[in-house]
Order: sequence, then C-alpha cells, then structure tokens
Amino acid sequence: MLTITPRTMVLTRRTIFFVFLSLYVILCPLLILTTFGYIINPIKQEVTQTGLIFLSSLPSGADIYLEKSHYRNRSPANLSGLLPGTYKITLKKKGYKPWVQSISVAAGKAATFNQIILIPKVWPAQRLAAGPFSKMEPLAGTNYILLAEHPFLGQYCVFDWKNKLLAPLLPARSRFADWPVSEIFSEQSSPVVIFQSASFWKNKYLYVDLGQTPFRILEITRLIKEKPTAWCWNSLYPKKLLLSTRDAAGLLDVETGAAEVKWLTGLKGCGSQGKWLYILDGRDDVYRESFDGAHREFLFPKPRWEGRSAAAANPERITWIANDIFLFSTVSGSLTTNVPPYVLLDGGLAGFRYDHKTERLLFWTKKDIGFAELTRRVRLKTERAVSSKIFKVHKVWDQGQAITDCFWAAGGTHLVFQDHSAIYLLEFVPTGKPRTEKITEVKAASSIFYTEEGKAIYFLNPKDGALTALSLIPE
Amino acid sequence: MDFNYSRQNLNRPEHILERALEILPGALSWSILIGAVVTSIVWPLTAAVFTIAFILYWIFRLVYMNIFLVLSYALLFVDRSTDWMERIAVIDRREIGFKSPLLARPDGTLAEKISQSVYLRQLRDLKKSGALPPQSESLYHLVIIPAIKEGSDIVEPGIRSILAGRYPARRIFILLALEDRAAAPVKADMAALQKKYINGFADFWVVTHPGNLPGEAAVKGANTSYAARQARRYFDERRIPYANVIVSCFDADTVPNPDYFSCLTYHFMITPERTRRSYQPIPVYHNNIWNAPGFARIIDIGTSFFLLVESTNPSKLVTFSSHSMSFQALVDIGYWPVDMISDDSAIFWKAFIHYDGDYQTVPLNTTVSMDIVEGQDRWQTFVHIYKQKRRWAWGVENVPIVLRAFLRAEKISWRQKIAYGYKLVDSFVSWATWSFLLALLSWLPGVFAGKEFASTTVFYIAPRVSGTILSLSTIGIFICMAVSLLMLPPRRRENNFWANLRHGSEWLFIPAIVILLSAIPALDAQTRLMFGRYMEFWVTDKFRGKGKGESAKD
Repeated sequence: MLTITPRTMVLTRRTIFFVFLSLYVILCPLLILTTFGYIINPIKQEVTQTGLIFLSSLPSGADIYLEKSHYRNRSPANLSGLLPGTYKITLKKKGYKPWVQSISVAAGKAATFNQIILIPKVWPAQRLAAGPFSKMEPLAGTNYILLAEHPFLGQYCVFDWKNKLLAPLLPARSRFADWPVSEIFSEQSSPVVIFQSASFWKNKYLYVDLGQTPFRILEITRLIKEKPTAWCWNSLYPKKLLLSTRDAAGLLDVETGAAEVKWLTGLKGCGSQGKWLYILDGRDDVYRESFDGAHREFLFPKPRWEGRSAAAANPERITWIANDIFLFSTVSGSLTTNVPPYVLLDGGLAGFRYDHKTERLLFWTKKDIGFAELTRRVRLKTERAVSSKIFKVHKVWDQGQAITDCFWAAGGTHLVFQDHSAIYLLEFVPTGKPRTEKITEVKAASSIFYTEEGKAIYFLNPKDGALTALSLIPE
Repeated sequence: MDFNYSRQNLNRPEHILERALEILPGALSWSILIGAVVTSIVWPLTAAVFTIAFILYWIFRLVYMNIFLVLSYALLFVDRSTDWMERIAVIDRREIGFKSPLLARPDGTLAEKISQSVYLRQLRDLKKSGALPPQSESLYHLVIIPAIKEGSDIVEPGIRSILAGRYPARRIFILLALEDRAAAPVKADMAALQKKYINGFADFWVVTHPGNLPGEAAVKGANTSYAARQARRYFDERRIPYANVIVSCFDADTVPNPDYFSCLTYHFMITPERTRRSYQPIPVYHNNIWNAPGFARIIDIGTSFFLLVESTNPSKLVTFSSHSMSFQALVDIGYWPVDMISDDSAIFWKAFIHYDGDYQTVPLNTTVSMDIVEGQDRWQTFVHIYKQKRRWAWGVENVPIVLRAFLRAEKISWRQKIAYGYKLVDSFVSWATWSFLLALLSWLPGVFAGKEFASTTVFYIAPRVSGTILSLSTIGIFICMAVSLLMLPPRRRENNFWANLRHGSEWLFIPAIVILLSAIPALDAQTRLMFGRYMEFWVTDKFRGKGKGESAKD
C-alpha cells in the first residue's frame, strides 16, 4: 500500500512537476508555431507556414465553398491551414446571389473579408411615405429628410427616419407656403435649415429649427443685407449664423434679431466645429474664433503648393477633421488639406465625407471615387506640416457618369453611391478591382441617403416618387 | 543566526537595502502589468505569443494545484475519524513496532487503511530517529487568544470547543491576551469568561497588554508576545519545561475542531524535531458561512484551498493565521514580531532564520474554523473583506526582511535560499498579477491591433488557441466547486440539489471576485510597501449576524 508521508508527497510533487514541465516545454512551442500558421505539409512532408482566410458576411450563416469542397463551418469563419496560393471561395445562402472571389493566401498572413454583403436576389424595399415627391434633401448627421413634390415651402415635409414620422414643414395656412425655394442651406449634424426663396425683387430667407416641436420658423430676411456666398453655424450655437459675403462676414443672432454686418472682414472661407469658428482670412492664415467672440487663436498659415492657392473669388469651406487637420474645399471643385500631399483633388469635386472612426476621407467627382486615409509618418523638419500624419490617397472607382453622392457602408468595407438615377453598392476587395452591384433605380434628379443604423438606404421611388427604404441586410 | 527580524533600528546601509527590497515586489508586479499593456499596444504579435505561453503555463499550474487540492482533501477526509488519543497512547506505551495489536487491522475502510499505513510509517520513522517524545502526560498546551474589540459572543465558542474537545482540557492553559485600549464591556466580557471557565482548564487567565510600550506598534504580535512573556514567567514558577509546552496562537473567533489538540499533540510527539516545527491546521471559515454573501464565501473557501494545496508541500509551508508551535522555539526566537502586522507568517521566517534553515511547518489534517468578515450590508462586507485581504497581502513586508537575512545567513544553503526566496517573491507577485494578466491578455492585443498585425494568422488563431486552453480551466473550477461542496458544513435548512447548485454557481463569478478581492488588495499592499506607506493594524470587524448556522441569507 502506498504510504502518503511528507517525503512521499514531496516526491509526488516533484514527479508531477517535472512531467508537467516536460509537457509544457513540448506543447508551448508547438502551440506558438501553430499560431503562426506552421503545419506539417502532408504532401511534401515538411514544415510549412500556412495562411488563412477570414470571412464574415451580412447576413451571417452562409455556406462556404473552398474550391469545390463544402467547408464545415458557416460564415463568419476562419479558413486556416491553407497552403500559400490562390483559392476560389464561394458563399451561398438561400435567397441571395452567390458571392465568388479568388483570394490569394500568403504564408503567415490572413486575407480578410469583413462584412461581405450578400446581394439578395430581390431587394426588399419598404415604402415609408407615399409621395409623390420629386425632391429629397437629407440633413447630414440628423434624423431628418426634407421632402417635397414641388419646390414651394408649403409643399415641404419633414421625415424623421429614426422614428418613422412624417410631418409638414409649415403649419396650415402659413404665409410662407407659397415661397418658391431656390436653395436650401444646412450644416452637418444641425437640425437648423435655411431656406432661400429667390424672387424678382429680392431674396427671402426662412430659418427653421427642426429640432424643436413644433418647428421653430423665423423669417430672417431683414437681417440679411447682401446675398451671402456662404453660411456657417453649428449645432452648439444654432441661433448664431455666420454669413460671408464678398468681403466680409456678418454674424446674425436669430434669437435677438441682432445683426453685426461686418463682424469679420477679409474672410475667404469658414467652417465650424464645436464652439469654434474656423476662418481663412485674406492673408491665407487659418485661425479660429469662438462664436461668442471671446477667443481668437491663430492656427497656421494655409500651405501653398507649387505656388498655387485658391482663387480669392472662390470662397473656401473649411472642414475640421482632427486636432490640427483641415480640409479646404471650393465651389470650383478643389479639395486641399494642410497635411501632405496637400492637394487631394484639383478640380471637379462633387462631394466628400469624412469618417472619424476609420479616419478615412471619401471624395468623389462625377466620374471618380477615391478615398484618403490618415496615416502616421516621420515628420521632416523642413516641412511646414503641422501634423505628423499624412493622407494616403487611393482611387477606387473611375467608371462613373454622374456620381452625385457616396457613403461609407458596412463599417467602411463597402460604398453606397448614386450615379445618375441608380444606386450602386461597391465592395472593397484586398486585391484586384472592387466589385460593384446595382441595387435599384431612383427618381431622376433626386438625392439618396444612407445610414449605418440599420444599414438603410432612403430614396425616392422612380415610379411614384414615394419615399422608400431599402436595407442592405434584409432581415 | 542572530538576526533582528524587523525593519526598525537599521543602520544606514541596511536601511537602504531594506528599502530597495521593499520596492522589489511592487516594482515587479507593476512592471509585469504595465509591460503587458505596453507590449500589447506596441508589439501585439509578441503579446499574443506571450499570452499563449502564459495561459498554457497557468493551466498546467491550475491542474497541478487541483491534483494536490484533491489529494490534500482526501488526506483530510481520511483522517477525519482518526482516534488521535489512541495513537498518542500507543506512543506513550512505546508500542512502536509491528506487533502492536492496535496496528493489526485487516478490516476497515480504504480511508482507514490509508490512515493506518501513514501512521505505521510515522511510527517507524520516529523509532528510527531515536528522538522519542516526552509522555503526553507531561505535555501542556498554551492557547493564546488575543482580543481587542471582540466580545464573549465571538470568543466564547472557541473556548467551548476546546473544552469539549477530545484532548483533556486539564492539560490546556487558556490565555486571553487583552489590549489595554479595549473597551470596558470587552474587558468585562473577558473577565466573565475567565470566571466561567477557569475550572475547566489547567488555568485560565487574562493578561492585559499595556499600550504604547516602546518599540511596539499597534499590532497583534505585540499583544501576543507580551502575553507569551507572562506565560513564560508562569511556567518558570511552576518549572514546566518549555519544550513540553505547545503554544497555539488563535484569532479571537477561532473555533478549533474537537480533535485539534489531540491531532496536534500526536503530530508533536511523532515529529522527531518537534521543537523546531510549527504546526499548521487547515483554516476554514465555517462559523458564519451561511450568513455571509456568496462572494465572501467563495473568496474564503479559496483561502482554505490555498492552504490545502500548500500543506502538500511541507518543506515550503509557511504558517498562516491560527497555528501552533513549540513554546521552546517561541522563546528561543524572541516571540512574535512586535512591529509587524503579518505576525503569523513572520514567526515562521523568524524561526527559519534563527535556526539557520532547520525549521519547517508540519501540516495538520484537521481544521480550525473562523469567521468570514461581515458588514452590516453587502457593500460593507465587500469593504471589510477588501481590507482583510489587503492586510493578509501585507505579508509582503516579510520579503525584504527575509531576503536581507538570506544575504547575511552563512549557514543556510544557497539552494534553500534560492528556493525559499523565489517562492516568497513569486507567491506575492503572482497573487497581484495573474488575475489581471488572464483578464487582459486574451483580448488586449486584438483591441490595439494595427492593420499590420490584423493581417497575420496570429491575430486570428491566437484568440482561438487561448480560448481553447482557457476553456480547460472550467474543469478546474468544477473540481473546486465539488471540493467546496464537500467541505462545507451542513446547512441548517435547504440542503438540496438546488441549494447546492446555487452555491456551485457562485464559483462562476470567480474571475471577477479574484480580481476585486484578491489581486487588487495584493497590488494595493505591495504599492504601499513600495512607497513606504506602512499599514497600521486595522482590526477586522467581526460580528455574528443572526447566530451561527441560523437562517441562511441565501
């Protein structure tokens, strides 16, 4: 009978310790090598480093085919232990078109396909508001979409896409109802909208705050002496409006009715973020001023490149990106920045969007779509750049005809864009050209809107002008 | 070795060395934690590899500990019905041979057979050593029970248990070591206990420790050392040899098992180097276990498990909480430290250093039961437990003193110094860091993964490998659940499958409980030591909610 004395216990401990130590010494390197993708190649009978393919799809649960073999797991899945080479991957799911892609696998590397959007055979659309609407104006960064059949104020409705509510813009028998709308001004993430109504005699302006119930409507025509070339306000100070004219900028207080006509002079461009107003003055210096006028701070001189700068006649829009990085856009279509490579687009700019999460800037012309991502770089002493970051520019699509809008979708793995009267889905692939798929037609000369919340596209039905929503990932 | 086991009254070089060694455990712990975070951010690939290596190591260690947890529990189980008094009688009769009728027991359960075989071996070893013990009739027990805030409701159950134990109470001296600053009702309670129980024991006296004696901090060790000095005078007057006295230092709420003193006496007698040994029972926290909240129960059961595992390695076992030792050794080494909070572990190191490494702890297969720290509500209970665990973790104050002693000790072998020193430092550092590493490392590299790392196989495979290894730990948790259910005292009510399932499921919260009530207090204590913010003694509040075993809270 085994006797359990202290000595026996010590011996037992030592034995088990050394057994475990030996197991650890053997297992640990094996596990680490497995993590790096090393396997024993069954064909060559040697140790080979493999790669893997990671796939996730929306919706998930798609059957995966590696070449012709049916993989045991459904998406999302890791296809590991793949010898370096090219593989044909097919995803199949009932009700969806097959997704097929040739993927190259390198040793020790993972080819990642995140959030592959499976294209339904039939896109289910949901009618949200019966039209007929001919105009659709989404207010970026808010829940609101302006809709109208004819461009008169009385025809406008406001659709709250989050709460699925439709309400007329104006109350019944409003005196503004027959104002023809010539232009609509809005700011990112602000529920305030300025309607410009042009007439033979003079322009009239209506200030509407959609964030209040009922909507706050104020005519501000008397506050505006000269037709503004640009407007600026932000969601923190919705009642303070900066209007820039040819040679000055005036500050209006909608609440009090005060108007300081020459609040700033020599203004070439402006933008706002938080409590700051960013200003490009006549000397091409960029500085910021608080909306209450209490603080003013010089930031940097606007970089010059190859002797060029924006023409004085073209007002510039300043968009704040990050701490010290700005974009300068002009009506003539140039897009520049204060970090290398400085010139992102020399002309033809139709629009841009910046995604703070992924630090990527999406911009497009009528024909092309590109994006620029902020990356770190080693800062050279000789450079005037104020940041250690640069934009790395990529061209994504060059086969457009009349691209009017573009959105990041599915966490930045796809783009939704409107070209002419159709909406397209573009999928980024690690290698090769991106894949595009036409989603649906839209009413001519109308806008679209996409939100990541629910991955929904809002547009006007081409047949009856109804406001329609379509989910990229149907339930 | 003559060594001043204290951080006080050091000359400048010693003080500098002491401070440097005080910084060591905290610096190691913080370096590991910060290094893990920084590595995850800056070198995620390295961090992912390290994660796998660490988790694999941790699993092996967990399995290793589980094996000895089960083994130790088995030994506890095997000896639960051992008649220690009978074995003492065998030694008294010097029937240390094969032919004793007492030893010839072909029948009996497996447990009994194992117990008998161990017993046989112990008798043979004793005979071989030639160091036969004195007769049990000439052995005495001195039980020192310190008290400062505890009333008779806390102290009396322990005294009753000693009285009702199998060992003759007539051979036991009870010494209530009272602090002078104790409140009058406490003093009155102690006096009442003395009056009530004096006739049941060899003697029962209350010693009041004066406050503010020079060189003493407000610590339990100062109180018990003062009491032990009074006891020494008592033994001198009655010519009781110190070598025949076994001193047990209990907490105020300690309730020893009825066979504690018989088990202790047996082990004292059976151990050849009996005066150079401490005797460590398994602490359990059963006094109010059913009144305490689940998280409090789990953390203290974990403490019992720790001692169960440690007791399987007697060559490195350090005393903890309530324990016993030879009064001769206590006198030789100069009693408990009077300026350290962790007197329970410090006494072992003091003895180890004094006897040049010729000192060990003998595990006792019996238990002493104490209270789980409670508060008026769950939050207070949480705070009290946190403070208690921090106080236990303050045992790290021994590290610099022990390492300083090792540097000077010429007679302790280098093998022993390295083995003990490494274990001492490693135990505190791993106490403070492992839970955080397990909680952080598995996901941190992924969070800070840049594009480069995210496009490697490591980024995808490492979490899967780590997850698979970690899932094996559920086996360890189930083993702990099972052992804890076996060790728990019977409930007064609700002893059914659902109640057991509820208790077992409390173990699923172990990851959070261990971080909040074990790792953080340990890190707190080490950080304080690093910055020289020595902790004052905070006597843990002990109160019984509704009486022992009545109406379980859950």
